[in-house]
Amino acid sequence: MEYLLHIAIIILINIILSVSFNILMGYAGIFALCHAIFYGIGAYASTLLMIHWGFSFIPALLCAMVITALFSLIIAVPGLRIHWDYMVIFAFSFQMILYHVMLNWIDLTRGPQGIPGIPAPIIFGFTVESKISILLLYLVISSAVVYLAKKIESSPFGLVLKGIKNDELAVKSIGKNVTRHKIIAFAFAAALASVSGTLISVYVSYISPAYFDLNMSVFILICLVFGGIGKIQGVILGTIGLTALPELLRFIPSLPSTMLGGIRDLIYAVVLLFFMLYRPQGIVPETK
Amino acid sequence: MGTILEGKGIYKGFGGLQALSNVNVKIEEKKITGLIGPNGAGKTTLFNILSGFIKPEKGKILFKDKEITREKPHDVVLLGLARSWQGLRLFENLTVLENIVMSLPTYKSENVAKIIFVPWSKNKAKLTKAMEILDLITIKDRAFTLIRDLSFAEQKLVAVARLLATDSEVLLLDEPVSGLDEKTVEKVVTPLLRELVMKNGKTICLVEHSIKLVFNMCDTVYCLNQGEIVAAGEPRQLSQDEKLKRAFFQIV
Repeated sequence: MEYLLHIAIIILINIILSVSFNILMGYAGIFALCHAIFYGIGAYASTLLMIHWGFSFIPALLCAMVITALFSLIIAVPGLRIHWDYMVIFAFSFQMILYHVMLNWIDLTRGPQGIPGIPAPIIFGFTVESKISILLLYLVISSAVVYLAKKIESSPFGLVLKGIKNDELAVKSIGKNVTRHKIIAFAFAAALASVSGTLISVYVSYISPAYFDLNMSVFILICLVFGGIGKIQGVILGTIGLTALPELLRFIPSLPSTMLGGIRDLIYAVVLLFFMLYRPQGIVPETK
Repeated sequence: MGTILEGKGIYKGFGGLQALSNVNVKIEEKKITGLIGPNGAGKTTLFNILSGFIKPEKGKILFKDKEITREKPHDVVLLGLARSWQGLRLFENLTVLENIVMSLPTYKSENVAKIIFVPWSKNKAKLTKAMEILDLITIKDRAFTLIRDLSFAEQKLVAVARLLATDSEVLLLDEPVSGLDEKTVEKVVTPLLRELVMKNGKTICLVEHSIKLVFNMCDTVYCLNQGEIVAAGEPRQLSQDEKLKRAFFQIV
């Protein structure tokens, strides 16, 4: 039971990540393979605020959202002025550089050793420690994020993002500022990804840069490709499937545990290739 | 009524090709002005410069006597000058209504929270305005159809509707009737453009290969050839000139 609760909690954290990435890639068509970095900035920001400055859970979560949104400007402001294929390389570099900063800025992040002893969240004086209470709390938070993402999708802002995905020049020709819309989309996506960072840090009560490497960014991308880029229902389904599927491997008795990681990566690669080749629209297609 | 949009001494080259040389145009308020010329004459380049999508090497663009040469394209639209595209560039995965609502300017009643978090379908003022525009363009019954499911003629009309939605005073139409049959042009497009000028007070500048439309609609015509204005005036007056008649009014 504890194990199932653990999987459910990880699924909820991953749903926030993929739904936030969907704002960028699904709505606005911005392919920025650095989402795990926003996840990581959120995790480190809230952890440091809680450990060194005595912030409680909710203020730390909110401050981490603002800090991560501000970090997103580092990539969004210069990056969105260049052609989209250079943007892909720019975002990839951002992922690699920030990952190595997390790994090597020992004084701040403790590097590969990570930061242990992150306190459990306290909500209205109640310490959320048991798995079931964490699950309920995370269910509320992830539902709020999904609700927010749905609101953005159907808003005038979301409509312009879809327009940008279709044809940027056409959006300019109807008087909409494409760069401003993209920067706001980046800030929202980053801020929401940081929520996942705060949630994983207080759940595991430990963080290290290994959680936020390129593989994580690729995993979020595969969740979208698998479920259907642009459609929230698809993104959620894709995330549930790809988080839960590799866990089934644990029930194969003859499989040594040392091989689990490798086989999981293999599954992701096969899923990505299969869907790109035979069903690029994913499980739930975006188009009406 | 005077000049609302003016291009003064415009030069533009692409590599070794001089697309526009010392081009001077004046677009009169609440009139229809035509730009004609063979392929490669520089008509679309001039449109791109007037609407801010490309910047001239030399020359100025004045809109209501204010220089807009270096303005960004979306700011040019907000000032009141919008353009359509030869390739239409509609948002094909969206419905007709979504295309129009998206093109409406931000209303004063809309704050940032409303723009980002409240569904556009709940903005009654915008929906009413969008439906009025679709009614004027005679495609109200297609409001909930995806753009890609429309006929080419209907898509052309949506392109005009999208321009109207921007609430711009000056509309630059790039080949509004190309690919349409004569009946649609006569029964739908011609009366529509007239109505836009006469009833709605719009100013129209159009690039067109259809000489018939230019003759029927335009108050002034500019003839472009190899990046230069070779003649300008009323279409009937220009057609009296044998050279121009051969070059622009028959062969084009």
